[in-house]
Amino acid sequence: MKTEFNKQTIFVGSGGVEWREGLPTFVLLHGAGLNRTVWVLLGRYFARHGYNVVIPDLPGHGASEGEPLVTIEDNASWVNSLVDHLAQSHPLANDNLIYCGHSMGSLVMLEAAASRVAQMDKLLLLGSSAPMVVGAPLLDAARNNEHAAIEMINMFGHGFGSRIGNNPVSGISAYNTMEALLEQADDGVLFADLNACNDYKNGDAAAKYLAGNAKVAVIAGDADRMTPAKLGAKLCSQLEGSYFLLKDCGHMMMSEQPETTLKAMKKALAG
Amino acid sequence: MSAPKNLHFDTLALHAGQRPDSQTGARATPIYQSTSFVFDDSDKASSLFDVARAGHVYSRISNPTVGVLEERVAALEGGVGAVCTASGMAAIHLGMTTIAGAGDHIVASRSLYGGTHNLLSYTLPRFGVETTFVDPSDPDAFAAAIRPNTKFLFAETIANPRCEIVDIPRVSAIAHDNGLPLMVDATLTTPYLMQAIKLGADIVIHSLTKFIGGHGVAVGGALVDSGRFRWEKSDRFPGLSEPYAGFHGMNFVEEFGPYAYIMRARKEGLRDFGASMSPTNAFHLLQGLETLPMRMDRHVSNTTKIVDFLATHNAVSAVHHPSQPSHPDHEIAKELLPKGCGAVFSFELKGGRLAGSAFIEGLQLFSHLANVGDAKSLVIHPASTTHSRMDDADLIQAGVSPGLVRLSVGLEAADDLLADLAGALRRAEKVAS
Repeated sequence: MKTEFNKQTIFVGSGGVEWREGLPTFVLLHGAGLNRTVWVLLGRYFARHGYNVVIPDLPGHGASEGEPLVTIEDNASWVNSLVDHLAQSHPLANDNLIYCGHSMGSLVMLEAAASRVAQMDKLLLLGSSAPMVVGAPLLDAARNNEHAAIEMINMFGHGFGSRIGNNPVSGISAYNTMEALLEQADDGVLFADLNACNDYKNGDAAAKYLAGNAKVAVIAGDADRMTPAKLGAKLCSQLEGSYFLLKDCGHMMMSEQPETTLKAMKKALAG
Repeated sequence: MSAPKNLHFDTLALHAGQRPDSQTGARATPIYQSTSFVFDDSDKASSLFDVARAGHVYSRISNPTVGVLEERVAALEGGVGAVCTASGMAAIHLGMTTIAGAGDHIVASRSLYGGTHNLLSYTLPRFGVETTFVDPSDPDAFAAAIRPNTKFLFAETIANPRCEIVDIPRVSAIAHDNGLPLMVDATLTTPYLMQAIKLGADIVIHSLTKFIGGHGVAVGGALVDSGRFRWEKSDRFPGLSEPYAGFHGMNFVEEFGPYAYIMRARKEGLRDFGASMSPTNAFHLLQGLETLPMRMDRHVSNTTKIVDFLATHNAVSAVHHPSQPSHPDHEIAKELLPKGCGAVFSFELKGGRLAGSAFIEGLQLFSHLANVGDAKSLVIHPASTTHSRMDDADLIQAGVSPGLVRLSVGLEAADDLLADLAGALRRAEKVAS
């Protein structure tokens, strides 16, 4: 659905199911340069399993208007405000929240959750680390809107097995789909996102605040070269959370291994 | 700056889409000859029907063996996904009907395979879809034929049998300027000789029966989605960018983004038309695809020798191959097909129809049959076979003269092929004189 928010038209997916009264609100947030479609299977699953699923396109991403926000903190504030905005006009709770983010989205949700601890039921961080340092070659390529930035993300973001393929979604090349999706982003969007990740310094403070006060899970891929699993484990330790390691999986776990990612998320939600 | 590159074409041709079987360790792709697949539990069952989890339900819609072939073809074309079909014509039909219906219009090259020509000229009009045919060598003709209800432009990368080459960069630019996708049949080029998506094509179709299979043992087709066409930015495709009653109100673009088109082709087109590929055929086609790069190099080198031989032979009045400077598309061929212009071409004998018959009867190594792209060399007389359903006017428009002979050059030793051709040409010369 499209909604007017902060004088912009914003797209928010619901997993193909209308929101209903009395269900927890499960917000799923995409990563750098991407959009809602990375959550298609997981979003549709949880929308049919007891949650009101909210899958926004961040400003300037996917079908949402506007310019990308340039800091993780600004994005986090935007997400919290969007949930409040939607709760005003839809049967959507804003006090029984599950926040879930992937990559850059995980930093946004970490920061957003830290300012909403009382309303937070669970926090799920996929392909995450804090800090999330972005290498200078990638940042430079993104700054210059070079296709090389997309190629680097695709190469470093997929485990070797996913570069070969064998996608459980029949006939779909996860690797080429990620390239096409990143190509859809307007000039400047990928750089704004990567730069926001690189500049984010509040991860330790957010983790310290959340530790012991929120149920957290970190899901990592053992072949992740964007946010290596050991960094995800370190963040998880800071958060005193549950840790799930996906075998032979890279950074793009939702498309690389949708079934094992689903299994890990279900366990995290049950824990 | 340069970026790290993914696996090379030759590697993907062998591996893409398949990893050793996790249950048995089988290195080759197993043939999952099963109509249907057991659900783990009722939740998995309902989730599969809701497109909320990944997996297989019924082999008309998807199958693990076919899925390997689909993913491999998509990987080699640089597309986001593919659907394999029972034949190349099934892929063309699926590709077209996924976005065109009653009241819609297509702009197509007039130089097309006879079956495609028939589909557009006679069959689709029965369902309310009209086509305007244009000269493939004139990009402006495509532009001039576009109407408000046009859904896509269509051409063959190399047309059969005169080898006209469509200028994909220019025609795709025209299509995109008008909010339309360009759909191409790339059967004769394969992804090895031409990367049609990189040149600007949005949807690529193959008859896998030909060079990709290569061995002449299995019929099949593939429909490949580049994932680059922005359906939601054009107002011509509400079936993809708005809730679609034909599939539970799903908005395919909202849900799947870059692979909206190919998902609709599978979820609707295979469900309703049912032209699915058998797992055994997928297995056979995979065996061929593994060696596509090496075979295409040999096809091209053999063709070069034969074209050179025919071009200087006294019994031959013309050779229609883009490698020849006399071919009208020689320059664009150098630009778009640097690895070679394929192995299917035609030539004309000085003696016309009688000489043509004598020539074909005189061949011993070339097989006289209605196919191209086999490992074995093939020959046919188009006017009496592949294009026989066209009237004389359509034949002339398609560039087929009564004495035209088409060759599909195989992988035999070039010297043996040349000797066979030389013998048959002597018979043709006798008839002509």
